[in-house]
Amino acid sequence: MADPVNKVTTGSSTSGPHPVVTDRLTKYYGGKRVVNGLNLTIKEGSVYALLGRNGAGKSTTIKMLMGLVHPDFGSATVLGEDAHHMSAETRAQIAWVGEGHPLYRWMTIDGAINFAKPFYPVWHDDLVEQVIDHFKLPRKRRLYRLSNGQRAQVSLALAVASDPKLLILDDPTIGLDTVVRRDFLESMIQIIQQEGRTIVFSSHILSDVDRVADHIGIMLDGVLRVDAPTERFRDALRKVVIELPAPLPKPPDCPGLASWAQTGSRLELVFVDFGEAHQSYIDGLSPVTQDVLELNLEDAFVEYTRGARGVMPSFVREVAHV
Amino acid sequence: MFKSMLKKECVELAAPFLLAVTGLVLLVSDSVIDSSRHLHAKGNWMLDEDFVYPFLMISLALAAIMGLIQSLSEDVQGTWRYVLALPGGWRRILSLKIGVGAVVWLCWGVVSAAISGLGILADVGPAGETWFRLADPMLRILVCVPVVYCGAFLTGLRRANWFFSRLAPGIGVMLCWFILPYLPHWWIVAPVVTAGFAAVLISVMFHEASHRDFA
Repeated sequence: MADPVNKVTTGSSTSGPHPVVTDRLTKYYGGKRVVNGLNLTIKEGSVYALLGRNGAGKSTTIKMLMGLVHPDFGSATVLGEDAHHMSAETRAQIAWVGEGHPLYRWMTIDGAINFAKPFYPVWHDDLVEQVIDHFKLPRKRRLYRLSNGQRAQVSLALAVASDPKLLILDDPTIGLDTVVRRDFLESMIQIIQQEGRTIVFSSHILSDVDRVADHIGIMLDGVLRVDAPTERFRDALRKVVIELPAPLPKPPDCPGLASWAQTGSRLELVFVDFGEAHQSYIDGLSPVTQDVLELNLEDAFVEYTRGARGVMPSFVREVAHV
Repeated sequence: MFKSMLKKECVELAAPFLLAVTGLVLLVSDSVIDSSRHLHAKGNWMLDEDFVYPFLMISLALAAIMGLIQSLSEDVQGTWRYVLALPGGWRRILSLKIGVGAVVWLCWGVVSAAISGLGILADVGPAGETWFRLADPMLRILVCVPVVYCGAFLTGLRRANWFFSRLAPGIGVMLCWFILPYLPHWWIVAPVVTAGFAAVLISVMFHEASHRDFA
C-alpha cells in the first residue's frame, strides 16, 4: 500500500466534479506490484500529467482508467462510473490516444474516420476537418504509409471528433520530433481545452509537460509520490551546491533531502521545501561556499526521482487542489 | 456500428476467404469427372467422391484461420486497446466479431454449395444416390466446423502461454470435432450438439475477455 506520509501532494479537495477518481488502485504483474494503492483525484478542466520513469506504472494506471486492465484491488471511477463497467454513453464522452497510436494501419485516413464514426452518438466532422486541414494530412493515404507524426495527428483528429469531456493520452508524443511534438500538443490544447474539458496524459518529455500541464502526478515504483500543481512542484525543489573544507565522511542525513551527490569536497544537495532547518544543517557542515539554485521541471523531476526511495521526503499537504 | 465492424473484419478475412474459395474452385474442377465414362450417360458430369476429404480440410483450415485472425490479429496489430476504447465496449465488440464470423461462415456455406452444386447438381438422372453420398458429408462438415472457429478464436483470445493453456481450447475442440460428424442420427444430434458446444465456447470467450487484461 502507498505510504501517505511519504508522498508529495497538495491534497485533493473533495468538492466539485472530478472526472477521474481512484481509490487504492492496485495492480500486480507476476507478483510485482506495478501500481500500489493509487489515490488520485483529478479536477474537471485540468490538464494533468502523469509522470514517472520507465516501469513506474503510468501506462498501467491509464489502462485501468480506460477499463482495459483489471485492478487487483481498489477502484477507478471515470466520469462517475466504474472504469471497468462503463456504459457506452459514458465511454463516448472519453477519447483515448494510445502509446504508438494503435490504429488499423491498412486503413486510409478516410477509412479510419469512417470506421470510428458509427461508434459515436455525436461526431463533429468539422473538428476532424479542422485537424486534417491544419496538418495537411493526405486523406487517401494508408496509415502504414504515414510518418509517426502524421499517425499521431490522425489519432488526435479521431480523438477530438466526438468532442469528449475527458481526453486520456498515453505517452502521445513518444517518437515524434520536436516540431511535430510541439504542434501536436498545442493543437491538442487548442482544440480540446474548452470549459469543463479535462486532459490526462502521461509523458516522458518534461518540457512538454511544463508547457501544457497545470497539475502533475509523479509515480515511483507504482506509488504516487507527487500530486501537485506543476509550478508548486518545480518551485519546491532547490539544489544547494556547497564547497566543503573536506569531503563528508558519511552520507548527508537531513529531513527533506531528495537526493545528493559528492565529488571531492563539492557537495550537491536537493531539498524539498528548502527552509531554515535545511540552512541550519548546511551551516553545520561549515561550507566554504554555498549556492542555492532553482530547478526547471525536468531537473526537478530527475533530482526527485533518482533519490533513494526509502527516504523520499514529503511535501506539506495543502488544502486546495487548484 | 455493425456495418463498420463488418467491413473492417471482412477486409481482414478477405485473403483467407478468397484463398479458400480458390482452393474450392480448383478442387471442384479437379474432382469433376466425366460421368459418361462411368455411367455411359453422355453429357452428365458429377463430382468425384474424393472431393469430400479435401473439402473438409479447406473448411477446417478456413475456420481455424478465421478464428485466429479475428482474435490474434488485434494483438499483433496492437489494436485491442483502440477498438475496446471505442464506445461499444468489449461485449459489443466481441459480439460483433463473432457475428461477422458467423456471416462469413454462412457465405462460405453458400459459396461451397454453389460451386459444388455445379458439379453435383449436373449429375441428374442416373446417379441420384451419388449426389446424396457427397451432399451428406459436406453438410456434416459445414454444420460442425463452426465449433473449430470458436475454438480457434478462443485460442487467439487467451493471453496465457503458447505451450498448453493457450492451445488447449483449439486442440480440445479439434478432438471433439472429429467425433461430431460420426454421431448416429447426425442430422438431429450434430446440429444440437454443435450449437450447444458453440454456445459453451462463446460463453467461455466472454468470460475470458471479461477477465483478460488488454495491455
